[in-house]
Amino acid sequence: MTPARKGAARVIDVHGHAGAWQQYGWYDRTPKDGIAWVLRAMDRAGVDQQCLFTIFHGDARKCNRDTHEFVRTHPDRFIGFAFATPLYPEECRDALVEAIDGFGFKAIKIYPPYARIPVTDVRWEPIFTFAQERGLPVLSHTSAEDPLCGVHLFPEVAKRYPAVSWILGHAGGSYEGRAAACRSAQAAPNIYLEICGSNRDPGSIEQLVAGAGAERVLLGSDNPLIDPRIHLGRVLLADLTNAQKRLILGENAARLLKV
Amino acid sequence: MAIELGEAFRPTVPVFDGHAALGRRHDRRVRYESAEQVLEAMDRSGIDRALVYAHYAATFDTRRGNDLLREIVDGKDRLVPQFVANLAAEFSQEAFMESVSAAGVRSLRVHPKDHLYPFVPWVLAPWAEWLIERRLALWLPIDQADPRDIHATAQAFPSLRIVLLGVHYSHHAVVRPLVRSCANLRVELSRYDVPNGAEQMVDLAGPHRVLFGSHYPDLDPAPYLFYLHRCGFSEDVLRAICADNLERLLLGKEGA
Repeated sequence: MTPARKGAARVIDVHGHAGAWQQYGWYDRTPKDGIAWVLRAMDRAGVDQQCLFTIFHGDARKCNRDTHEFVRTHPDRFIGFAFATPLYPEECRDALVEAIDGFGFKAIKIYPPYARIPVTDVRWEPIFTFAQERGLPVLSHTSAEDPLCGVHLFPEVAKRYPAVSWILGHAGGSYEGRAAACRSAQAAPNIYLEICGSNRDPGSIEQLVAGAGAERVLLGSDNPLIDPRIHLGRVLLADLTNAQKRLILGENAARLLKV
Repeated sequence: MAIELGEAFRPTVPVFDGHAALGRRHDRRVRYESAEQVLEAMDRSGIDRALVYAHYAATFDTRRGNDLLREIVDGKDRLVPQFVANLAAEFSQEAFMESVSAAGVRSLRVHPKDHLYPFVPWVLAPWAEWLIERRLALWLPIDQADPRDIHATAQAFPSLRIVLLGVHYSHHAVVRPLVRSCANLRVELSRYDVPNGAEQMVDLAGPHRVLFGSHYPDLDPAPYLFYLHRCGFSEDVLRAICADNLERLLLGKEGA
């Protein structure tokens, strides 16, 4: 997909959820409602393609089938990410094969706080080995100093699995977390930083670009938890060149995801 | 909506920020601490005026903090002072009330959790008559009180206008029933980032109970203003959210 007009940027949002989380206002009464909800938020923001994953079921296969319900209805708008959990290592490979080969998903999403296993732990090996074999990006939830998925843990993992592009979701979250995420990106060339979160403190995008380079920063919104218009605004209003904004808005994601 | 690069964004309506802090913090560096720094940041985001309070007044000492605020904003008409009140520990309630009048302050901010008291009718009662008679609205960070206490207090004093600050997606489950059941509650939007959240809140509460805040110095307000300008609001509604509702609250011209 290329932008329709001169001057328009291709926009790929790499952080979005399929599924329902009622207490946070995700009005997914039916899968159809959920799809319409996410699409509406994308359209109002100007997001061309939304990466989606489901992380709420203990059964990764169930998660990926739920995501597939979204992706198959709008394959031009949605990009599926496979979920896998180290709590069931015996199921990881089959779940990933189904999602990647069967559904055409482009990356893997992990959420260490649910598994309560540090990303450096050997129990992640089946998932990371699969990603390494296939050259798939892995998007992980991160925070500043979390013992499970603090950004400081990722250089070690990134060096162990060099064919994987490691996308640090939320880029550590806070100002201090972003600073640490930038240090991680400097330590490993296959680490990328994704911007979404509620900590929209001033200069946050410029901080990531200064620390990691624009070619290593990716737009994410957490749609439908957070309105993508706000995160689009963060990038568009940042003190960056148009070329840098294009990279963040979509070109980097297109390159990593091969879409 | 295709994204065009290189387009400048400025708010198309006047912006009066309902939630900004001034001064240093004891626990971390802040990006904007002085009046001059906040004014520069406001200029960059297209904010005309801001309602400001002193961090120190909220964290340690209302009297010294409010005095500090007066010193900081002195002569700076774009910064409108808001005093912090400790409803459980003002040593002299009368003296505090006099200081509010003397400073021309038109709103108060409370931090019940930090100040170690519950936000309940029996704590507020000694203040209520004065607040209502003077038409002083109360600003309350939503994290600073139990939602059940907010509900009970708002119901107990229906003429008292209470602005809930820092409403976030983690408050989504309680803020909607609160706003629905208490007509005297208002919602400040700086952290309310659920998809279509501003539109939904306007639908639920009406455009006159929703107001913009920057949450300086913790947040960058420009993306939220960018978002508000892409919600499809009429100019009247946008004006109400961005400035007029706050103006009316401070003038005491608005009913509960």
